[in-house]
Amino acid sequence: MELKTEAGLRRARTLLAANQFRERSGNAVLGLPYALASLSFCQSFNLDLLRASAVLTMAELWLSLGSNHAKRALSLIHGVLPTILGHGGLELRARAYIVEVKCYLSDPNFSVSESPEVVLDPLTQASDELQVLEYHELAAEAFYLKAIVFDKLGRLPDREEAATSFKKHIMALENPHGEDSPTTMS
Amino acid sequence: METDDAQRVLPFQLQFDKPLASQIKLAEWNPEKDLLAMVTEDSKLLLHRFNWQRLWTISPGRSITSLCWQPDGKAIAVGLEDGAVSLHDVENGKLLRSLKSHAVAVVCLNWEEDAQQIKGDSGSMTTYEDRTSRFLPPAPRVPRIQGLVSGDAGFMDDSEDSFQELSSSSQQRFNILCSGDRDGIICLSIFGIFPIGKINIHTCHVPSSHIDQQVKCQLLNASIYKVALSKDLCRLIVMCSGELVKNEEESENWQMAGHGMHGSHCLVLDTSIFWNRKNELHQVAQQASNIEELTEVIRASLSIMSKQWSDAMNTFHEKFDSLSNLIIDHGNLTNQDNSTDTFLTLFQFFFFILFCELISSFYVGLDSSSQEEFLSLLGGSRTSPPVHQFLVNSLGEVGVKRVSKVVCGAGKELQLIFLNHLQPAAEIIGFRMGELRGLSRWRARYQSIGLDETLISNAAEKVGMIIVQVEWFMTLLSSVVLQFSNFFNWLLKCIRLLMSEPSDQLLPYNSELVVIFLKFLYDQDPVRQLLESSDADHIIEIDVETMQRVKELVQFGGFSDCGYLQRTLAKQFHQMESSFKEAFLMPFTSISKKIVCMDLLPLFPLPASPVSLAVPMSVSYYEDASQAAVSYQQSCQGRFVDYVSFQVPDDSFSNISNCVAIIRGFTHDSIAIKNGYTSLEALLLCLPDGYHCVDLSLYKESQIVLLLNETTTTSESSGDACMMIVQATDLPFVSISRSTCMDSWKLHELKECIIHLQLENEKVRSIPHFVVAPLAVSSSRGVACIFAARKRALVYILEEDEDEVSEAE
Repeated sequence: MELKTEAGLRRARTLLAANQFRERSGNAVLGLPYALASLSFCQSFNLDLLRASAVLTMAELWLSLGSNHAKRALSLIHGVLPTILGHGGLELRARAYIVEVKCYLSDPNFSVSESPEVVLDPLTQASDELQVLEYHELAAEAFYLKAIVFDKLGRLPDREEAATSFKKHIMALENPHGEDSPTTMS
Repeated sequence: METDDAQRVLPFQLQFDKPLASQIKLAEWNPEKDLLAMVTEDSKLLLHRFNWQRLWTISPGRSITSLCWQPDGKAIAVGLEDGAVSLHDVENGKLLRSLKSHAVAVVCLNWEEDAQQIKGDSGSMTTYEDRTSRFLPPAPRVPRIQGLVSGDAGFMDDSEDSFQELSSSSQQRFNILCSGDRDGIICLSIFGIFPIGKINIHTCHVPSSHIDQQVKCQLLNASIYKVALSKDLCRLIVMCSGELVKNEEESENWQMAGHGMHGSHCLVLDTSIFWNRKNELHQVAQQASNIEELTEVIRASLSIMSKQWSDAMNTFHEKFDSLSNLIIDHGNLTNQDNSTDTFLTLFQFFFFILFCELISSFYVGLDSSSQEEFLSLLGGSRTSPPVHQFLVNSLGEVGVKRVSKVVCGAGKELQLIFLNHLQPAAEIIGFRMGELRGLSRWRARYQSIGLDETLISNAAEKVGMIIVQVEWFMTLLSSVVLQFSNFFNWLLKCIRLLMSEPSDQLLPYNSELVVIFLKFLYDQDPVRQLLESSDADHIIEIDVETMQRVKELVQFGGFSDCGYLQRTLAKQFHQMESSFKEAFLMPFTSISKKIVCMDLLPLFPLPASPVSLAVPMSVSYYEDASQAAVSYQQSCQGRFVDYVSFQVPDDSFSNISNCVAIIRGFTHDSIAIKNGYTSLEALLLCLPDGYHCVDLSLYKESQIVLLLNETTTTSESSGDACMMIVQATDLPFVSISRSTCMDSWKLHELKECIIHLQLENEKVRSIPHFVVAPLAVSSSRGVACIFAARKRALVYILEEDEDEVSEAE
């Protein structure tokens, strides 16, 4: 039993390392073997949530390889979304929503005006959750994407609101000691 | 008959011609195996093998009005006259499940399975994985108690046993059971278990898409004959009778009844939600049906436990009530003496004061109670006469042992039921609800089918509360049983002492526990309070500290409803059940709203007086090979062509008699018209002279099987019959234009182009009996069964021909 838990911890740490590799280096593919190893390990030990987050990493990987892999990434995410939404924490859920929306937006065949709610709904949920967490980096990304979508839809007031929130979070990120930055309403 | 010709071949091979015990009114072939289910006139359901060996017979007790097999052949659905639909196992006819979805007789049933495997193309999910088997032990079944089963419960036990068999086998493929009744209500359920939709034909607004946008049509007094889902579950064809009325203006000013078109109509309902949302509905139905089964396990467990415990407590009180009677009698006989008249030592005196304080909470009347007597006995005073008499004479050692066995045995049984049934069931429900909660959070996919996050979360919370309460109950039960057995040990010692027998070999007891028992448990029953559903509103007292802790836990994600510890287990269970009902009602109502009427075609007029129509009709769907367009593959259109065939009653149209009509392409006509063409085609087949139609059935590859009787003018009904197969695609269909509004009977237009059937030109087999409906034809097995008026059954293999060599019959 102890051996298993130790192995489990080691693998979990490996996954985190993979994430860091990906983020730090420009080359996303470096994280690939680690993510795959985590996937197979989690599968054999029934660590469903950990597996889901490994799949999410894979999806991010595919997405970063190009927009012609967007569909593949999307189907990966859709396969694990119930697990992530049902059992994952706020951060994992928000990340999953954001990656899903990025898949849709990268897909050249997808038209925002045809089905806006497919991207708006996850973004709203993600931004709400990230606000609660005060996870500025990801929240900024969510608001950024939201502003882009509103822009495409021609909903200018909503776009402005999202852009303001984006700015607020970016500034909070740069001033981590909580200076009250004035929000400019335009 | 022409034996001069060289080897003439008789179509269809006669398997056998067997006598029947009674006349048959319904018959259906199993789609996967060679089994024939038949319903007799007195509503017995029989299942026969292909060699006519009878497998089983059952009598549901009520009149059977319709019959339909599950697409994989493992169960059969039976529609009854009180509106219930029962599912029976194919192996032995056991009742698997009964759904009371209608209020009147269920006239028709149709059970269709999704024709294609769930494809894993981009954008759609791959096959769902039920994670429960990886994390939890197999689901528990309803507990069965030896000897405690009443006649009713025994039946239920059997059915509950196969409950899980039904669910596990039926959940391989997505399938829908559709049932229609006499009042125009159609009910749909997934797997035949999970109700997913209810449509009232009367509220269907028929769109007239063609010219007049203002004109809306509606049906009055409709009664359904036949329902048929297409093989891709996209369309539902409903054959019904009723009065079609038009609303000329926008207001709700319907035409007076009687001025509409009364007759038989064919409707198409749009059920494409089942195709578009197949994966999601499949997942939700799977979880929901399992949850319902386990809820049933919990309900049955609670009632069995409640009964067992109350039986045990009754035994206990019966025995011990005689003590109070003895005390009362004794109190009447003697003066009210102090129960103690021995000289107490100082120590015992203090002890006794303590006890007096304890018993001050009891009712102190003129007569002392049994508890007081026991307490004083425990305190060391000499036994009062009633207690002595009770313990030694009426109860005795044997009595104590007997009561102890009953009570402690009941306690053990309850614990076993908890550990093996109740607790695992609650945990599995909790897990499945958690899965559903995850799905409900995926709003983009699941909100449209009615999975509401709030309702599901609420239901999940209720399950969590049940799990906590179950644990708590277990602890309480163990403690109660321990106290009872402790009390009985003490009594045994007392009895031995009173009878001056050695008492050192007995089990030890704890005096404090006896005191607590006498104070709290002797005349109260906390176990029953928690279990008994009639007493469910009882509020349990919880100390302030615990309540405070519960409130604090809310901050950490605990249950938002803080009062759950104050509720009895029974009450909590009721609340959980109603939260499930609420949660699963949402998909039901959402999906029902999405099934709308697409088109309506008036078929033939009928006399206005309600006459129970027994017009032979058959609906089937065939793959459209001609539609090569790949673009249709992913959508709901054009993959299957519907064929609707029925006998046209002779008095419907003046110049159409002895005809059978076949209509095809109706389901997609409304879409076709938008694209500028019409797909609806029809033809009228005039049957050969001297024959009239008894029954008909659509067979595979667009063939139609007709069962005809010779029309005899003589009084003896000894005419012959024949069975004929006609290839419909060979016949010249006429395109029906829909340009005029819906106020004419379209078939009327076909009177010019009636096709006359000649016996010589078709594949005909003569039958040497006068036959009656039903005609049971199986497309998948290629067999047909015909019933003769003289109570005989003839089975033919339709795919093989017989050589008419001179063989002895």
